[in-house]
Amino acid sequence: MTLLGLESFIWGLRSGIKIPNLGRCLLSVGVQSLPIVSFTALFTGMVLVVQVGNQFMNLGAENIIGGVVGLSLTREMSPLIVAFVLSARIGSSMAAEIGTMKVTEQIDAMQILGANPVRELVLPRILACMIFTPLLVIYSNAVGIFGGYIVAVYQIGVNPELFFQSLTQMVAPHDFWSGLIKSSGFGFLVAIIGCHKGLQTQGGAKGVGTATTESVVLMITSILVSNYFFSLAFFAWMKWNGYF
Amino acid sequence: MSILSMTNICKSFGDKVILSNLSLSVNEGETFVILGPSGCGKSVTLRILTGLMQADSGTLSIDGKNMAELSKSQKSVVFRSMGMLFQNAALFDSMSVYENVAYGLRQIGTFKENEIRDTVLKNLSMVGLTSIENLMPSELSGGMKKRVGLARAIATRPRFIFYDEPTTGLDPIRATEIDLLIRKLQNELGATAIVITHDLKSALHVADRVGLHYGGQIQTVANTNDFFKSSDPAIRQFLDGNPIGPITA
Ligand SMILES: Nc1ncnc2c1ncn2[C@@H]1O[C@H](COP(=O)(O)OP(=O)(O)O)[C@@H](O)[C@H]1O
Ligand SMILES: [Mg+2]
Repeated sequence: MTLLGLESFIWGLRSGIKIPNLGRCLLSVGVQSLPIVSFTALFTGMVLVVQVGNQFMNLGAENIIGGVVGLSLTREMSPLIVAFVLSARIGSSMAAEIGTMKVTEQIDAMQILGANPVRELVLPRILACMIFTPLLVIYSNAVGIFGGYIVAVYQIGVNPELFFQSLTQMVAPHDFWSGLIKSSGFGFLVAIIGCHKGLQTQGGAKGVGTATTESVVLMITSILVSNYFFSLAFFAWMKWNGYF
Repeated sequence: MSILSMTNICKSFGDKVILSNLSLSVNEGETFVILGPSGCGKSVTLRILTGLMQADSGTLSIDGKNMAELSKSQKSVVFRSMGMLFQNAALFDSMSVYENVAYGLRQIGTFKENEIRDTVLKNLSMVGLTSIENLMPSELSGGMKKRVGLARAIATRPRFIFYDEPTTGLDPIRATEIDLLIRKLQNELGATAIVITHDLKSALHVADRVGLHYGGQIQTVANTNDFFKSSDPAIRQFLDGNPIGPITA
């Protein structure tokens, strides 16, 4: 799999990338994921405030609810939501589509016709995922904060101005950026695992099913594990720069 | 003069031996048919010939050049002179018929769009298809898929054409049509061809020479007429469909 990543990278450098292929992938990664990202982010933002809102009000910490929502979303929740949605929605279909091409000899046909499957299939998918995950995370941040705001203001009775004040005070640019950067890494993981499992597929329809399931399990575990290490690195960086 | 030859090719998957010391020699311009029971390793042999799979040992030479001694780019030049019709056509199902046939031309990268268009339409009409270029593969019947696969394989005018079970899964009439088409293309294009099949009628229609593949090797090779008249026990067993004989599962 590392090899596949390397090969895609080399092909990318050597020959540029086919725009129509990339365009099609971008469309499927980005636009088609919007509804489900909206839905998930909205309810995550809402439930965050349900959980912390009442407690914080009782503790007299009304003035930090907005900030807590913003921080959890930008640093952890949005990147994870988007990565999981992408795994289920896009990664699995990559594994299934490429796996089907493999078992129906379409990959072989590509090779015989002089094309390189890694360049034709893998590279555009990796790029599409790496470009679109951060954009989806920005969108998810906005929708999630909106959801949190609704519950905070209309259900718990937080002062709307206080909500925004704490949001802007507590969420620094690096919180926002760290989420975007790691989400791009998650996008890479989703694409490379989906493509790798697809290309490894053997044995007809059953093999495609197995490849799809295995790919999603591997995506989700590797996202969570790498997320842990990314957060460690992020905190080390913050300490280094004297943020706390 | 032999243009394609395999010598002592071995291939196993795990401890399952598929090819053991297989040798084969094909002459320039001829149509060579490999007959053999299902699962004997015919497709594996083709995959090794086309560079899709590596043999465990043995020599593959094409055009008198030992493939093992060529650099990666020299190899890809050789493999680019090959076309293949896959067993189930293996059309790209996300692309139209037009884009399927144009695919190999686009990879070469030197053709203008109008040249590609002319070539695609010409090759489709060579396989007897007109005004279907905008359809998707899922809209085609099995026989039409094979024709499109054939048009795609010949569009770049390969010097070698490989056919993997071209008639399997077709009714006898469509099967004969495909046989006649293969024959016609062989006459018009003059390519060297290998056809693998277990369809005797198909072999009779298209072959210049026939080899029988069993027990991991291509055991007996003969001119088409001699093959069908042969008294070799294995050939007789295969032709008569006799479960008992030298060919075992
Ligand atoms: N990639 C592979 N991995 C493991 N076994 C394979 C592979 N390809 C083919 N085989 C096995 O090799 C044998 C010969 O297959 P094949 O060449 O497709 O037969 P056929 O003569 O019908 O074309 C079969 O038993 C098949 O299971
Ligand atoms: Mg086969």
